[in-house]
Amino acid sequence: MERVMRNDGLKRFVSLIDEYFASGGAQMQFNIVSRETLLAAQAHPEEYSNLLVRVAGYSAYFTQLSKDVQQDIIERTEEKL
Amino acid sequence: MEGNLSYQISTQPVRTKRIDELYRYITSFESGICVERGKYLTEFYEKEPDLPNVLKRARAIEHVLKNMSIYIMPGSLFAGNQTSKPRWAPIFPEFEVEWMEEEFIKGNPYFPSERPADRYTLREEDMEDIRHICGWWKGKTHVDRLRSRLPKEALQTHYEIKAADIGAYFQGGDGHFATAHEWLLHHGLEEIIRLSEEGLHSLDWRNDPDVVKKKDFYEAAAVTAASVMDYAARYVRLAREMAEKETDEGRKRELEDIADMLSHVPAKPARTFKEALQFIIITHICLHIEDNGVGISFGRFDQFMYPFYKKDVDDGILDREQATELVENFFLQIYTSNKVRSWQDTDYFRGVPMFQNLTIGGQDPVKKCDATNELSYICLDAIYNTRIPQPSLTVRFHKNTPFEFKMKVAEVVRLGTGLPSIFNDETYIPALLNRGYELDDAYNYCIIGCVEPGPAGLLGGRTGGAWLNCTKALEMSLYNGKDPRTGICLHPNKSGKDLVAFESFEEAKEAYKDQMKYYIKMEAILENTIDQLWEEHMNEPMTSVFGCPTTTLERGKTFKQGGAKYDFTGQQTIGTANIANSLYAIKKLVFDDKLITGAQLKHALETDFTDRETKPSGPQIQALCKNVGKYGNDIDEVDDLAREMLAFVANELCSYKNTRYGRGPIGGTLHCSTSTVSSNTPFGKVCGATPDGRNAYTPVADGQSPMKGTDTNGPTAAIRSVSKINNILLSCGSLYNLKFNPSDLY
Repeated sequence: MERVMRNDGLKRFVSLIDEYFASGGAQMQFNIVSRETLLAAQAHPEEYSNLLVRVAGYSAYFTQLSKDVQQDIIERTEEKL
Repeated sequence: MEGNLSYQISTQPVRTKRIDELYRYITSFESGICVERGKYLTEFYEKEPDLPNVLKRARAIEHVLKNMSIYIMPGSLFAGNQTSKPRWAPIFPEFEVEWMEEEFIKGNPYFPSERPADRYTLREEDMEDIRHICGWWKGKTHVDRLRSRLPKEALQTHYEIKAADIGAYFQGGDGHFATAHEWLLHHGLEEIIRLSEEGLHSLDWRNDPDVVKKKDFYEAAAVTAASVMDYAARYVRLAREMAEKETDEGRKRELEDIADMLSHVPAKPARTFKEALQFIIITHICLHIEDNGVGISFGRFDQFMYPFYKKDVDDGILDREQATELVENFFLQIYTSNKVRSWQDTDYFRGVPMFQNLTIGGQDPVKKCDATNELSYICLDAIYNTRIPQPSLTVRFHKNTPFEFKMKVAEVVRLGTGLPSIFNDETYIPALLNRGYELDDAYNYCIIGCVEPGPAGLLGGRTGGAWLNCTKALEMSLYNGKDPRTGICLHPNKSGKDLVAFESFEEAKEAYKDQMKYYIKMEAILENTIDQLWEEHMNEPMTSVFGCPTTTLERGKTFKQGGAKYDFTGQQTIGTANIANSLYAIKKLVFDDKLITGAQLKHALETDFTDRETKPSGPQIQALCKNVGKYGNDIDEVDDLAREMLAFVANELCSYKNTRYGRGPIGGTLHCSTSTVSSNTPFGKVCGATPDGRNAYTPVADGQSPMKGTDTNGPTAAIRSVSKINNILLSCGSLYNLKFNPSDLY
């Protein structure tokens, strides 16, 4: 796997997980995807047929989800690291 | 990274030619419906109606495994298929045929191939079998028995009010356990036959009141083990035939190798890493044929597979690259399994998830130190390279997890496939200890299904169960127990008051708890009736002996009779954020700040905040509701409500016993999780507007995550709120979804 040398963002991400777990958190799962990508996938599903996302407790192909579940994922808060 | 692209799009997997071709081959198949299992199962049930239930099940599955089509995928180093084609789903008519009849035959509401999502191909040539299967099973299925056995109020809770939904366990399958792969790999299935025979010889016909049931169980256990061995033997013959015809020398050897492996496993213990993988594929796929359940999980793969890996590397017959390819091939092989649900039920399981969870990382159960090894890294590479939704990879973190490993995990998470999800030993282990798990077993937990912890090979029951719609209970508490959507009132508030009449915040809170208590009782009735009927009609020998061989074979009992070492009935509690936010809004707006009255708020909810004639108007009241502090922003007052209300549900659930209580296992109660799957969308569709400002019939919050769009103070504040939940009470698992922009994870 390609190693990213300058990985400050990743380190901050790991710190966030550490902080959550240190304060008694139990589980975390993530979507790492922009609203723009999801909207583009909704508009052009044929070009994004391989795009996987996290629903809740599992991953699925975004373009195969129903519109309401797609919308639910699009509308989830995009946190800033 | 430039722009907002996804790392899935901007980075390429590293795949060998074999893996790339296999990936393309498998993903070229659309999901379809395979009639074979249903057909052969029905054939057997028609012929042998009078066998005892556990033996009937063993023999029926034996008949399926004998007759179903088998194939070996081009280039695959392993054999084992669940149905006639990759990604095709078998049918399980013994659970319910009504939905199949409606959808497959009548196209109501859709033919499977015309669904708006989760589509399946159904071949015209299979329709005659489908008609026969539906006709024969009508009136004889699990769901028919459930309808006649369940109290009316429990049926209304599930079908009409939707304060709980347990459709998945009406229409089929428990699943939701982690197979005892470690034990199976080291003992082989012949050992199950030997232990079953031993059990039969030592039956106590003089004193044991359960002796007849035990006899049935041991006979079924032996049949089930032999049937899986016979199924493996079919591939030996197929691989040899294919090898004979194969012109490519390399492929010929690979096929011969499959035949050689399956001449040895699963009957006997695995000798090599590759053989162990082949063993797991066979047992795993057979479990998926026995039962319509999902969430059949692999346990701590990097731990129990490491000795095989290490030995092969030391012997010079395996290197890391080869092992990676084998693991990738293994992942692709298990991705070929599929299930089909009714259209209605897919609402709760959107995107055809199979929840085949595989756990890596964590701690050594005996030494209590970090257990990460080379295989943990290989699994991460394999997930990075295969980029398929299965297996559902879980990583266990603890306070001494190496930084290097965490960074590697973060790199894979960054891909955005949603894999792996990350679990905290420091919370999960105490959660298990709190339920009576032995220390070493608690340290040895894996994740089952979505987020549910338990030690592989020791936990029966099921980690999944009903979805509990807390938002619905809250809504009904505001209407004195009446469901405004259906007009049904099963349980008026103890106080006899509604939102107009509540005189204090405490009264509002108590009304919610009172409703919740009633619907938890309904859930317990649903869960236990399902299990009782299962025990009476569909005991599962394979799940029992592969799921927990050490105690089921010792006690002569299936899971449902109390055969497992640990046994809990799981469930999923949905809408924590809506409850906290709604109660807090009532407290602030109606009682503390007195900005509106209970009557005004109730009217606004009834009219979905649209009535512009009132003062303040509907939209103004909605704005007030939305402006009250929300869970997810580190505001103690509202976070405390989230904690208190979820703890109330968790403790209440645990006070209910399941049908195995006192019959052998440790545990024997219901317990709580905040797993959601996609239920927050259909649950939202039955809930009117709520005091948190949420519009009628829109999704409720998922898991224990803040309500989408309301956690506006950044991730640190959000995680502080979520970690105030008493996660240790959630012994059936916690779920917290977070979303980041890829450009932040450079």
